[in-house]
Amino acid sequence: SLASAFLLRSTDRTLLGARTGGRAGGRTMVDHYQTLGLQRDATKDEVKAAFRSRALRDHPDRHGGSTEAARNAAAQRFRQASDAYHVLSDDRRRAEYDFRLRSSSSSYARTSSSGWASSSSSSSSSSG
Amino acid sequence: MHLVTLPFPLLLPPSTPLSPLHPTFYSREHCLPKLLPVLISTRKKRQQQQGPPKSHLLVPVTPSQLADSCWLSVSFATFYWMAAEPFYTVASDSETTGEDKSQPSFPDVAIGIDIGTSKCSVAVWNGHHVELLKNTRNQKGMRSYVMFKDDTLSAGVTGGAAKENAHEERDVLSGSAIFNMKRLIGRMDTDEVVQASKALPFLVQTLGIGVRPFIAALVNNMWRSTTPEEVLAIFLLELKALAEMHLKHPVRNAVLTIPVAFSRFQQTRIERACAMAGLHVLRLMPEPTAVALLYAQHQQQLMHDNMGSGIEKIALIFNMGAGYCDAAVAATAGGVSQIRALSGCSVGGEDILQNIMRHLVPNFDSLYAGQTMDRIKSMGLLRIATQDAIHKLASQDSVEINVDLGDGQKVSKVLDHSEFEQVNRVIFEKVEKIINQCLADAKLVPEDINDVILVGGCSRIPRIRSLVLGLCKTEVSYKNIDALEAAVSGAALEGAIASGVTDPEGSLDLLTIQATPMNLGIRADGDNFAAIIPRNTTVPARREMLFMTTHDNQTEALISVYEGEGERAEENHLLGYFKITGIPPAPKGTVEISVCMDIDASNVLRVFAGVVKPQGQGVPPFIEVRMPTLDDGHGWCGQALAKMYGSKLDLAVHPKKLQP
Repeated sequence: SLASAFLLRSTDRTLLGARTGGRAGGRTMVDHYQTLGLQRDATKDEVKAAFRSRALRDHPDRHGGSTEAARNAAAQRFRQASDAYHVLSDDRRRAEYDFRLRSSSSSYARTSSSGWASSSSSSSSSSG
Repeated sequence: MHLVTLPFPLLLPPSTPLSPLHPTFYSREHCLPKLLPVLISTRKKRQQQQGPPKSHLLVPVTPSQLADSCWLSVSFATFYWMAAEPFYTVASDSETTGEDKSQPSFPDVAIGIDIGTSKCSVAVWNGHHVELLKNTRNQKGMRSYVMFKDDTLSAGVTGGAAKENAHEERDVLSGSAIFNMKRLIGRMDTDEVVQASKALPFLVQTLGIGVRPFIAALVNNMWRSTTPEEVLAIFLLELKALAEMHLKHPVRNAVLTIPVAFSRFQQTRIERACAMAGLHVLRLMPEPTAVALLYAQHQQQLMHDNMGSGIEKIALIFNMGAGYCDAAVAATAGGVSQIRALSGCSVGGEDILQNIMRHLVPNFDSLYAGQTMDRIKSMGLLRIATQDAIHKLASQDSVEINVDLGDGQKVSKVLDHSEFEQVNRVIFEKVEKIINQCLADAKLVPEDINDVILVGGCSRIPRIRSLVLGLCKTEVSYKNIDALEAAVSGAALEGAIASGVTDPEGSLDLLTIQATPMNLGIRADGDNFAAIIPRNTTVPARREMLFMTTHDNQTEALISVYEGEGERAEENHLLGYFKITGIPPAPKGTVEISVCMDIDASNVLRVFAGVVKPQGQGVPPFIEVRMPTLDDGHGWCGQALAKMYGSKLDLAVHPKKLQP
């Protein structure tokens, strides 16, 4: 069903969100620093180390023996960490992100701005 | 009960305690059809339902022997059933494959398999370390071929089993054996690799119409047809039996290594062959990434021994075998190897061999056109002599080749390094391109590399070594890795990790974070390729892109999904296509269509698409499609679509950027 195919994921801009009336460009920003447990002034090496430790904890390959629920939750966290790393590990993307983060009027609280999302939970659960 | 005709009995190693299962022991009324419906049920249940099928066997077997080995007969049953109808039913086509977790009464640790173009190997995590398994001939690397002889089939795992029947290289080259499966699997007859395979001793027939090639082995002076999937399945079946013999329990899951250049379509063929052999594919790992995992383990070990610094290390891994050439850049620290870039192409030792053969016999193509028995024999002699010369050149300055090809044809020549390098110049250029692309994609310069790891049979060729090391501005390669065992060892490590095995000493606290080897995207802006998930994106991955209609009142749009490096859609592999219908009529460019691609941890690709603007009740539902959807014979689908629809259903990339 559609609902299961397009569960919400906070980091994604969403079809579903757009369709259900989310304001274009008005989504609240995800705090990638918080995702990786980092300070805003984290060095590149700290970003890498934080991503690695989260990968070792949450990557689906590390959850072959876990229950499905634990595996899906971890997979979801890994995707968030991976998105955060994608942005923060690249100077240009990080600068752009920092700029938007500063100019964003909202607080850094996470909101579910919705996305194409978790089919991450639906799809990764079906394929283990 | 005469449903199944066993095409060929399969040979098992003579030493195997499971020999009562040898299919030749079965009568033709063997209970195969009965076994089929319970294939997925547990072993215990099966036995209860059927009791010992003693009466079906031609030789007496004790019930305990049978009980111990009942699982294997199921593998055979699966296989023979599949082999009889190889194109129809295969578990891997179902998304739920592998989800039937029937309570295993044995440790369900996935084995690691390296299916090489030339040689295969299998390894397992034995609780303490990775162990490579040896066949009855004491080999860890087993020649990849399947021999068709009279009514029997035997693969290179056992190599003809008994000593007196042992296959030699000239038997393998007699036309009766199929080899180089990895070069043929999942390729269309328009593919240049398939064209090059026509210089092999068995039959590779092409029509050049974008369908699978026709391949056949010589049996009693007749060409008998088969398929690469079938041949690989037979080989895997022997490999599985070998592993089960060592482990003394059934093997179900496997991690296999594949070339970086393998398309998603080729990957589905590997999965199909595995399913035919009764193996569930837990992961398909690009070969250099399996090596990266092994490297991560080494680095962790050094840390524990207080010899490592724990600082991130950058490794360039280069792998070149008989069929393919791959490179990867991995950043490793804390047991985690992160793949920063991958590149690869279908160039390997087979191409070097063919180049030298054509150099030695300039009229090679006209001489060996049309495969008569004489020509097959003559070409086999040339192949052996050439292979031998290439091997010798790895440690000698020059080599003398003297071979009588029969029918008055003689080769007598001294070949030195400069000539060898001249003849294979194009291959070395391709290797160079692969390395440079990998470094550029990883945004690194040679000085950033800490270790250069050279693996695969061709990494022994001096020119290849000097070329790769030179490009990386390094004097020596990484020492602590066996060039022929690294990939399978990494696959076995991954098998243990992904099976949920933990090691109290922490030697399995490892991870390879994979990246996509090729761009994934759709056709847009005319015949262009819009990459939605660019290559070297961390997996699992999800990316989305906006598109817009190109005609006024366009109500349908065609989404053609491609994979590859070409800028034009047609230069890439077509994975599948589907239409978005019921788009509300509107001026061109005003309808926004979002296409989202998702790759999960098992590397399954799903494409989601739908109209995001306008919104409301009049908009069709989104579509989710698992890729690839194409089966055989899709070579010219792209052209057929273009002919049928022109630009009527086209989309264009929307200028509005989506923020990362």
